[in-house]
Amino acid sequence: MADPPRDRHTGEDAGLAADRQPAPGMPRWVKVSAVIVAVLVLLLVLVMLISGGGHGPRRHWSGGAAGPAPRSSVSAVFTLSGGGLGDQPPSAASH
Amino acid sequence: MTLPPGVRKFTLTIHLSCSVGWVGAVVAYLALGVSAVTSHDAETVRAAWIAMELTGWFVIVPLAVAALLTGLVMALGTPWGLFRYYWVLITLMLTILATVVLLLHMPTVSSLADMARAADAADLRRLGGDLFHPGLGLVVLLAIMVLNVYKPRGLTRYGWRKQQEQRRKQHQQRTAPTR
Repeated sequence: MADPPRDRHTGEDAGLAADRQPAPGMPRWVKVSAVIVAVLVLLLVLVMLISGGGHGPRRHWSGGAAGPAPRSSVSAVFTLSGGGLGDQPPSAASH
Repeated sequence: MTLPPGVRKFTLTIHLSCSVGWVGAVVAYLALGVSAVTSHDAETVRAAWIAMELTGWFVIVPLAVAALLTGLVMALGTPWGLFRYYWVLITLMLTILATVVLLLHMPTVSSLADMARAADAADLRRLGGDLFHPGLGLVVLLAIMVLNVYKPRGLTRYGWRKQQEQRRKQHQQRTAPTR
């Protein structure tokens, strides 16, 4: 954001030229990026659903301030048999 | 409202420092996350989780918030505006998204760091790491950086309307009879 935007219409009739211009549509790079991001998000959601879900923003809100930890790490901790942190839920372990 | 050149440069310096620092801190966090996943040494895993929590709360979160706030000041205090150009608008949305996800994710990191503090060696080896969020976050931050460096063309409808208004005003000032 260092360089201020340049105005290409700096001549005497800049105002009139601007009035004649049609409203711009969405640039191609925005459309292409949107499609790519949509495809990636869709793939990510599919992978999560196939792998059993359990991830998403709701995961952080459902368990109080601390919220449960990622399945990959916490599920292992919860299944530990006795001792260590096996009996301690993440919310109890938080501040 | 346009910032005076001196204030603009000062804000830009802070903004760049925070933004680039945010990227660097996430890379450091990722290195710790990889270490927590790959290391077979329990103490290394414990140290990695504690360091990840500290790095997250005391480096990444402040840098993220500062980058967002200084970015807002830079956008509103320069002719770029906040909603006039697609690249500024997308940068804003991605920065807000990254900051919100970070703030939602950090309590989970704290929980796991607390577990790591108390866990024995066997539990620590099964604790795992944290690669998904910082990995995705890094991709988003690099995308923001590319947008900010290249500044691809494209006015939003709002930006176009504002530009038309400015040109009309300029034209009226030029053609107004002088007394």
